[in-house]
Amino acid sequence: MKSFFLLFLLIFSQLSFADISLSELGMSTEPDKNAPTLLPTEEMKERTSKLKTHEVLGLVTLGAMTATLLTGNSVYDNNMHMYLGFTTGALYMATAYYSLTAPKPMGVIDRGRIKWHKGLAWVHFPLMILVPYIGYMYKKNEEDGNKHSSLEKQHRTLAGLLYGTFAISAALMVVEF
Amino acid sequence: METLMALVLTVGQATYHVKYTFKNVEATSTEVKGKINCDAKECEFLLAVPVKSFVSSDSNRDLNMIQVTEAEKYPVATAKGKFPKEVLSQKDAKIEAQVEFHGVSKTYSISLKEKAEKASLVLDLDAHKIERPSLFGIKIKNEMPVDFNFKWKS
Repeated sequence: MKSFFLLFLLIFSQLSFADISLSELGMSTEPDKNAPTLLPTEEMKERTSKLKTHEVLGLVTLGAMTATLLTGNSVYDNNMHMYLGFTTGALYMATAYYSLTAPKPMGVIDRGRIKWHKGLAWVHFPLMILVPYIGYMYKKNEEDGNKHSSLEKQHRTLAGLLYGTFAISAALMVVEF
Repeated sequence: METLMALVLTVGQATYHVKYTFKNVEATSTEVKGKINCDAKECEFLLAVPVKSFVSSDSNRDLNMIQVTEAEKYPVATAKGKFPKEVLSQKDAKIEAQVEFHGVSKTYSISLKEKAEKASLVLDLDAHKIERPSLFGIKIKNEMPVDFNFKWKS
């Protein structure tokens, strides 16, 4: 009789109108200590900080690159174009540094706009090295009275390609939420 | 009170919509779990979704969302409440729910549609102490609509 009563109590308690618990849904609000974390908190903070700096520097670099492009025709009058080019190059490398050194969680596969943002770097990064170099060579040969190579003559075209890919890459930046 | 009817979620989907000055983005989770227990007059419900399970079109955004919402610390967002049983047979209805997200509880009005097969609410991010992300110094809007699609089984 006692066991029957206990059984009745057990069944009734299961059917009673108690709060539904998360465990009934197979979930828990407690942090799972055994679950692999994406990155330690400190590294996630470092990642955010570095990517914010990358974002700001990227926009400043785009501004400097625009100014360099606009002063391209004044190259025979003064050295403004060259100085702006050096500034752009330095800013570009600083921008790249903050992106490349930002900690990234393991196993995260890039998807969407960030994939294009990173993919375009494979175009504008080599151009960022090549364009100032051939610009310098062009100016040097001009001053020395030497003939220009076919690559030097492409400085303007390659600079346009560099600007275009860098600007598209910046425009592809995403809202982080 | 006695549970006369229990409904379990077989398919649960939630989509959040983030509004920003220049664009809107959304992310969806298909890992929503839920249950409704009803007696003769009233039903109680619980919905839960792992915060990490939302997927948008951009992996970087999802990663940042996990950080902003502290998904490691607060892994699950829940909504629970009670409503009159007749709501389940109504085409449209409004109910109240206690939403726990980012460790903060707040009461929201939830719109139910198509006999509780669809639901929507507008989350107040500031109320849940979410540090709203920004782009070019402009923060995302504080109001974040969330839509749900449900398939219930008794």
